[in-house]
Amino acid sequence: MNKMIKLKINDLEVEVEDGTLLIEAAKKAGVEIPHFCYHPKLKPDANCRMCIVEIEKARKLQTSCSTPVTEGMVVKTNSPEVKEAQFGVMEFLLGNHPLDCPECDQGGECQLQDFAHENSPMTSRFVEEKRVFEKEYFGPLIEKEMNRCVSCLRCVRYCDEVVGSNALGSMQRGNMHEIGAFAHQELECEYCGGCIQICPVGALTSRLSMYDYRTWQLKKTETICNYCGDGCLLTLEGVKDDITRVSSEMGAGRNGGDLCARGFFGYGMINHAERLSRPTVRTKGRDLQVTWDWAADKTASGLNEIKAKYGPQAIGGVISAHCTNEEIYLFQKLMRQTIGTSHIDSSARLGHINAVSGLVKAFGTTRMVRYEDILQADVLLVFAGELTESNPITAIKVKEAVRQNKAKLIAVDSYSAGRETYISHLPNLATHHLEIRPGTEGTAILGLLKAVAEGSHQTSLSQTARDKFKESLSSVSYDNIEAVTGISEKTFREMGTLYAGAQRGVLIFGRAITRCEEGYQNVLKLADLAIAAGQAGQPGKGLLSLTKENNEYGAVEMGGASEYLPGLQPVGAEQKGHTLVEMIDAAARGEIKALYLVGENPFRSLPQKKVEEALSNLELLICQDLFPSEVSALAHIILPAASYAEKSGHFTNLEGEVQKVRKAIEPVGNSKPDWEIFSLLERKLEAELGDPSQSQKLEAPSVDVVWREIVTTLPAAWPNLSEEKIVAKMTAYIENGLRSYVVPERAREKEEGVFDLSMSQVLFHAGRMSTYAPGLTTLLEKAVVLIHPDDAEDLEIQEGEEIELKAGGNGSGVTVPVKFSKKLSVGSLLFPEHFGLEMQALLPLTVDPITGVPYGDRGRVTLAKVSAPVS
Amino acid sequence: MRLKVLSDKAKEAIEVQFPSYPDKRSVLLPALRIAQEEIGYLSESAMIDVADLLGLTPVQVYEVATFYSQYNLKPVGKYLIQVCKTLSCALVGAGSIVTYLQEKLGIRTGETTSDGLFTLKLVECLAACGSAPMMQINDRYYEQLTPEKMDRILEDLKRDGKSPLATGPFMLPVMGERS
Ligand code: SF4
Ligand code: SF4
Ligand code: SF4
Ligand code: FES
Ligand code: FES
Repeated sequence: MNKMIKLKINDLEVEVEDGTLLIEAAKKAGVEIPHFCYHPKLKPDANCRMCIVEIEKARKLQTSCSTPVTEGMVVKTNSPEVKEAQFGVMEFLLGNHPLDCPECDQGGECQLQDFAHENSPMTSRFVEEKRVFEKEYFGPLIEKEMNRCVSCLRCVRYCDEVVGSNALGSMQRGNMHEIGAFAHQELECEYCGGCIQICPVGALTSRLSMYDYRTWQLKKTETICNYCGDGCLLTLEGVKDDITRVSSEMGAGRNGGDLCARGFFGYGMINHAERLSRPTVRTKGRDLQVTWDWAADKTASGLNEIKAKYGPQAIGGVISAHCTNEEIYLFQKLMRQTIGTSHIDSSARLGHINAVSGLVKAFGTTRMVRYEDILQADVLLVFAGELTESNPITAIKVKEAVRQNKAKLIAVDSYSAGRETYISHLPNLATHHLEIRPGTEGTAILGLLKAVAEGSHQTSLSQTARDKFKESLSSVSYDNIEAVTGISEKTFREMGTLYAGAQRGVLIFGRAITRCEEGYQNVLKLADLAIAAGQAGQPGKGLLSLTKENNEYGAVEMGGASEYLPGLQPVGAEQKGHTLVEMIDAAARGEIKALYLVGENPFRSLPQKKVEEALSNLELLICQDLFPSEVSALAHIILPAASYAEKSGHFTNLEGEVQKVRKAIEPVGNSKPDWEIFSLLERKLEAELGDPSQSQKLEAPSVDVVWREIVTTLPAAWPNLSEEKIVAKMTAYIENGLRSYVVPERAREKEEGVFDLSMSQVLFHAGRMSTYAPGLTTLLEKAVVLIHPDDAEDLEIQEGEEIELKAGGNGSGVTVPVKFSKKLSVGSLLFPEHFGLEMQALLPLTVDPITGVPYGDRGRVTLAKVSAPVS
Repeated sequence: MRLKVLSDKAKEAIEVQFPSYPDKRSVLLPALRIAQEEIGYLSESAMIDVADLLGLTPVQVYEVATFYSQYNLKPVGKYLIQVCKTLSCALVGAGSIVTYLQEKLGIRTGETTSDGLFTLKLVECLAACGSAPMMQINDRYYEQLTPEKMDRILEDLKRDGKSPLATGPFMLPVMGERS
């Protein structure tokens, strides 16, 4: 801790840490100094002069937002001189201000209003004409009202210092100074909403909720975003049961008050008109909308019949990792205990389980890296070229580490470092970018591992362990590695040395590892790399697996995986049930007769024909979801679920932070939170099974009771593992492991006209759910395929033109419009996975032999222009 | 990286400056000047090229381009007239100089004559206060302006492409000439 400084503010004694700014010291003493340009998130800019104070012995008034405290300072914030100067600033600001508070959305939470009440002269000597700016929009989501701007530059600085998007500029000068986008074009930025939130006045406001509210009319509920694994704290604000806007408290939550577009503009899915809202039972092709009681009876009796006829193993269940910990826990309990089946899985199967299996095997835990560790790391090794789009807040931490704290960033991925104008892109941020050929991640890891194993840095590894590593890599040749990945031995050696030499090295990996071929093996190789480099098993070092859905960590930890009981306790090999893929196969074979799908749609991850066949084969298909889908179209029973805004519980983010989800509004329509449905079913099933004591419990237990049960059921050490245990596990893993690393013989030939197609996430969407949020669909509405402009130029394709993609030359193709993107590698195509299912059919599917993860995100296609119809 | 409008020569002229500055961003002012010299003004494409060369976003270039009156964001006429409107000039009649020019050329400030010859702009002090009122046309100063002088200057330029009335870099003020 820093040394403490004593000073006097308005005769009050204050003691603060050395380096504290005067304005913050005053806040601590309970004195608010009026300010505009100052914001605790940003570097002091001292451009507005509103925060001036009188400091004894200083020759003139000083800006308290840029003056650090010194010992014995005597400060006055309310002397006549100070007031006069502040009146002056105010008079200038108000001179040009339109004073249109009655129609301004900021009214009630405007710093200009607030400070004007206390610090303005009440009259104005300004008789000239006010400046007038023409009305302009910053694109579809942000309203720009420059007449209200106080030129504090908070928005521009936020966009630069925090987001790194640099989309806003401070333009013109003097009286006509304004904030704007390049050449008054539409803003094409990250749409994080940060500039809206940080603007002290109503110059930047959200167009999604214009004129809808006065801030004091809104009921505010702090909860956790449900779009990605970053787990941002946000505030849902609404009138009655309508969510009107989202905000976040600067500095609060793991996200420190920063959000991404999905969090800030994505709330529209909550009150979406297409939400499933009534329990429905489908008999003989007719849809009957029924009461919950009826639906639950039908579900329970249906499940019991199957169980009686075929035994419990004819029933399977899959739950989405968007659900809360309580829900996943209750669901696996319902399946495992009440029904008695071992076939239970979750959407964590689609990739995250690779990380869990690998990391638990090597370290006994998945919890190694927190955001603080990213900020303090001196070397970051990142296998996730999509990081800024998939996990924007983790990316903000990485940006801070690199830009503010000067960490070295080694990015290994198959993207190019081309600049996507205003959307940040990891390779651009990297101090070292290794652009590898797609699908060669595993080989690239070996390239680093070999460099590390043969290097001379210090580690805690025993000499035998070191020798073993070296030996197992001796047959791996750099000639092969180079031919496969396209990266030179020299680069690997340099990067290996850099990573192994780090004080605090953090390794981050994303879908290119977890959701692509060899996923599990590659996680293990990464673990080997971190251990060999001495970058694991100590505070501030370790590996972090990025997750796509908000509660993938929780899903596995709560037992939402066939191989894990709650608390990551392994299920014995004999008792292990089917994974998602196996369940679909078993249903196709007629072994599984009933499937209970909670928010999970296998059509989106597995071959559609096969899924359709399997699901049509079932005697009972229960679909519990928010929106209609391919599954609900086939289901016998449809149970409408409540969204995250309508329930309480806990989500676990990718750092392993267990965070509270709070209910903001009542369930939409006649939907119910998943946990309530499970507990209703549990009671129904128990009653049918003849346990009257259970049927008496008519009231659903509260979610708090469920949470208490979880906490007491889970192993005592959960969720954290002590450092000694991690080291012990790691050592055992290294000493006992037999390693044989193989590098593919040579690189796949590059064929003329064949492109590498991959499906990935884009910033403005998360899964399918976000496509129901109007705010986000205005940013990206429908399917497009991204292509590098150089490829497009060579093929004479214009932006927006339709192309046809085919796999293997013949068979039916998929037609989509193209969008240019400089972030892609030349020769590759990217399809945002949030849209149409057709694209998947072009990509081959393989299943991980150990973890059962289906891999279907990558493939090779040929591309043809769709000849324009002759007009 | 493929540039939109700047030539390889301009690109080289910009890149050759890099070693003289602490970082690429600092090369922005000369880079814009080079781009403007080549294209005649700072078109959007030219600014995007400069942004790409310096590793900036286009708006970071635009901020600077809109701040300095020396950069033209629109095409300008063959002769760019910049009249000083700052205090010293204003006190001795810069206002009427501007009005005179506007009427004579039939354009408002910021506009270009339809024959593409003259563009009229107002700028801040050009450091010739002692011989106010003054204007700059392309690279030359014209000082102690009067309506007659301006008529001649414009005629000269139209006819010969230059005028002997050009002064500067500075005109030495003659004491008492205009009492
Ligand atoms: S990225 Fe866009 S929304 Fe976010 S601060 Fe910058 S301009 Fe505003
Ligand atoms: S738009 Fe808002 S934040 Fe940006 S400079 Fe103006 S007042 Fe400040
Ligand atoms: S989508 Fe992820 S990064 Fe964006 S606000 Fe939600 S949790 Fe945060
Ligand atoms: S708040 Fe200190 S100068 Fe603006
Ligand atoms: S005021 Fe016109 S040149 Fe200085």
